[in-house]
Amino acid sequence: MEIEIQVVTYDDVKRGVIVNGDNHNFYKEGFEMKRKKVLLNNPNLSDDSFSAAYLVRAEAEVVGALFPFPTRIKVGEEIIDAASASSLNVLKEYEKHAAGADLVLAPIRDKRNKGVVLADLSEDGLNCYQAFRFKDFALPKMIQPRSSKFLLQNFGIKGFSLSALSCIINVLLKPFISISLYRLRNFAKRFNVVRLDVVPSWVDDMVLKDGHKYMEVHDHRWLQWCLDNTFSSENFHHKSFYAIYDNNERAIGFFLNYEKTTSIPYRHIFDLRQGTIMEWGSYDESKLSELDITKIAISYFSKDLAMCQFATTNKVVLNKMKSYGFIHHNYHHIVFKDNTKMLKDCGDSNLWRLRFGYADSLF
Amino acid sequence: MDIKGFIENFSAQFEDTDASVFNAETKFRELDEWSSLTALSILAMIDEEYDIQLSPAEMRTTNTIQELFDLVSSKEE
Repeated sequence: MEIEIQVVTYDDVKRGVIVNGDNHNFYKEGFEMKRKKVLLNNPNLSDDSFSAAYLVRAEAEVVGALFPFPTRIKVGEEIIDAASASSLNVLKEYEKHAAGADLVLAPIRDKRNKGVVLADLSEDGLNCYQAFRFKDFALPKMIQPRSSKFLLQNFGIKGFSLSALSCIINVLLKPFISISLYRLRNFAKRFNVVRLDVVPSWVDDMVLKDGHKYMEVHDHRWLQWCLDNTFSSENFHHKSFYAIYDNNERAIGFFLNYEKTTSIPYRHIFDLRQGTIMEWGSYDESKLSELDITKIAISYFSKDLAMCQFATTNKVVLNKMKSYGFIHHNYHHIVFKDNTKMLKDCGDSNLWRLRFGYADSLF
Repeated sequence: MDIKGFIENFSAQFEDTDASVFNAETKFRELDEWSSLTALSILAMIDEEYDIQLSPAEMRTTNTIQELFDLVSSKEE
């Protein structure tokens, strides 16, 4: 079977190129208006010849797609061009023909990308990138269930049993969460926290000079892009950037929270309102630690969430947040491929500034 | 680079297929376990062990392990 890759550039997208044979709407859905706007607003898109879509064709029909976008990775004092991507999809019947391999390899074999970084992967996607020996950073994910309903749904409970059990458990859970939030809000009162619509440029120093050798560049331009754009078509989704000031009104830290509805159809979970701490930074962690920021950020989520979450490798944060009702649930994976083969220590997660909001997670 | 070591490296990418199945004439695409994932594992193995970058399209021109070995060998020179 003849399988080939078609590359669609950002220039093609801007010119409204028509993709023939897109019978399963891979391209159409990948570049529906909302996503198109987000991807064209990317502050790292400095060259329209960058690949915007890799389409796998079999017998002239599009049978799979991947949508790359440019990002940047800081390596020591240098910033290198890299690619990220979203929505790796291949029709099941073409997996046997290794059509997915073409898509995984396409951004790696593009010489302009010195690295490839991805996050928020499906199980199949993660398997593909692990198979090609991407460095896999698995951040323990902590969730605070504020309602028992989705937890029970997760165990396959539904109907009357779900309603009855949910009511009983909530009688115990809700007061505990209320007390936890009261403690967290009291803690947050020690700081001057201000919500901002425009991400200040002082964030750049806080992020880029935090001492880690490797990081995806989340400077104020990138954060603003994430703050202002979304892939989501749900009604409930909003992101909030908060600056933290000390008593002398000096900026000492920041965090970015994301609230949205999500659905897990195969678990019969629909319209779950969740909040995630996507980004945070501190000038001096001896004065404002990750634990401090996590506690503050949690207290700033809306009251009507069904759960909130964060991900970190910091053992102190993982342990301390358990007393506020957080439980370890799964991992948030970030994968990286060094195309230069020169970054010998890039598999060491301690050298990375890792955050939930990598790649396209914030959209 | 020798075919014996190549077959060992090749078979190591399969989790469920018995190592005794693999020899130079094995038509790997006909194995039950063959998929995008195993193709990626083999391309990664060739990249890391032999420093040769093959495309999936090049790989698709081969049917047996011997043919794949010959393709990799030809690129090594």
